[in-house]
Amino acid sequence: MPEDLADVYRTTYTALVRFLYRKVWDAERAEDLAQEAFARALVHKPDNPRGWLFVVAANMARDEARRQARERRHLTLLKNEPERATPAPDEALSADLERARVRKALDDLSPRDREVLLLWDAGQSYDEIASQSGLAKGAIGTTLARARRRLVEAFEKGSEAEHVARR
Amino acid sequence: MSHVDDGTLDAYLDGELTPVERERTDAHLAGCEACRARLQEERTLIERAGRLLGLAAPPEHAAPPLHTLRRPTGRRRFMIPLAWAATIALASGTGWYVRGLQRPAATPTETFVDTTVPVALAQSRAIDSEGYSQGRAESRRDEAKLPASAASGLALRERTAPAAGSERAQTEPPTVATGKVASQLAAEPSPPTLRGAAAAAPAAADNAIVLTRPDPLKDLAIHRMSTTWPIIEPKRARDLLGEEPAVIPGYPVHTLRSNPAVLSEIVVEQVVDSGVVLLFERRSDQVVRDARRRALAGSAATDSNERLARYVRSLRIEIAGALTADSLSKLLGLIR
Repeated sequence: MPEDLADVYRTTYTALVRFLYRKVWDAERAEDLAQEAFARALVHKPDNPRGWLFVVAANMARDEARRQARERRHLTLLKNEPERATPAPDEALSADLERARVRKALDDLSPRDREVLLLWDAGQSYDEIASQSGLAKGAIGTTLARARRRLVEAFEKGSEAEHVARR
Repeated sequence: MSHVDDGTLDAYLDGELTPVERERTDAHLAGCEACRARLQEERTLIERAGRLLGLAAPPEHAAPPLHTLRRPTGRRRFMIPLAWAATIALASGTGWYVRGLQRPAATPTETFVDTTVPVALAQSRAIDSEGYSQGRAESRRDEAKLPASAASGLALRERTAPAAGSERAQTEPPTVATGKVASQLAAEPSPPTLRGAAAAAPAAADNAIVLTRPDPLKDLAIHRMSTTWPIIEPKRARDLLGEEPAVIPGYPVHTLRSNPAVLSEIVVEQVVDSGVVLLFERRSDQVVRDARRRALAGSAATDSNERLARYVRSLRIEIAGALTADSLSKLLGLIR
């Protein structure tokens, strides 16, 4: 193994959890998946563990999303009681609200923009992002610039919409 | 040099330009006020986007030691093709369970996958003393105490056995009969020591459990049907499976049924303590085929649905509901 997996684990675990969290939106699940990805890396011994891990993690998150979608369908068929929103304490509420807005803003990005942005935020270099996304390295800056702008715009638009709705 | 585009500005700020590109950009910026203004704009945008992403960051936990991340990937790939599947569904109040599944809209106390999963995870951590764990065991997990809920459900499946086939069996028509078993799984409430599973604690007594398996819709159908599947003779079950059905040793087989839709699938009902255990079992060659299909679908897709599983030797145990520690350990003891 060219790069020691133990080192990659130390340096990349948190970033991988963060990357996964923005996809599954469940902190514990994100950790589970990150650990599973590393456990797989232990078995597979990939040449480029960092890149490999992010690819595997992205795949797992995608499968997870599909599975959740299925379960939701399942639940809507079965649930006889509509879900009730549970009231949250104020401080939790505002953090949750912000998170929900960011999540919404991220969801509004195109899949490619979102992926590139999340990979960058997880500490991947342009080179790494290029090889994982299939984009040319020269296109990463442009994609990131667009993704960042759209994220900020979508977030602000979402906030405005909520203020309007509250009036 | 012409003006610098946004992408180059971002790469510049991200420190991703080559020295040559960087030098060229610096030279242009030095003489171009418009581009310097845009550089500032991009810088603000980058910071803002970074802060927003920071708002949506998970709480950071220390990574568990790498060597604790064991995962039986190789082992499982090897195992499943050899295995024929047995699923045991263990539900408290089976009579209710049956009714609940047949008329979901009429029953107010159903607990389904979403609420049961956290409990299931906590439990599977708690019982995970075997080396065949999913490999995500970690110290944090040890905090998870056994849930106190008396409601319970348990699914076990997949046992290894040599593959054998009987084509003749596939063509025989199923006989038709019905039967129903209702009783209560021994489930004394234990002291409420919930932590990780607190959210799922309201899984109330008398709740029925739906299994968490790859395709909930399909599974639901299986469960619904299984209670009306035709009762079959032991010989017929043997023919359908191509071998003896798996049973929990020491307990009588109450009823054997066959799936009228999938001839290679049967259910074995056994009474264990005061509860009823349903074992869903399929022909081994069928399982091999399924495993291959999963493998072809990609390695990442292979295991995402198996996260609640734990292995007790070759028996795969899937838990999809709250079960008291006593009942669980008793059952696991039996299976071992």
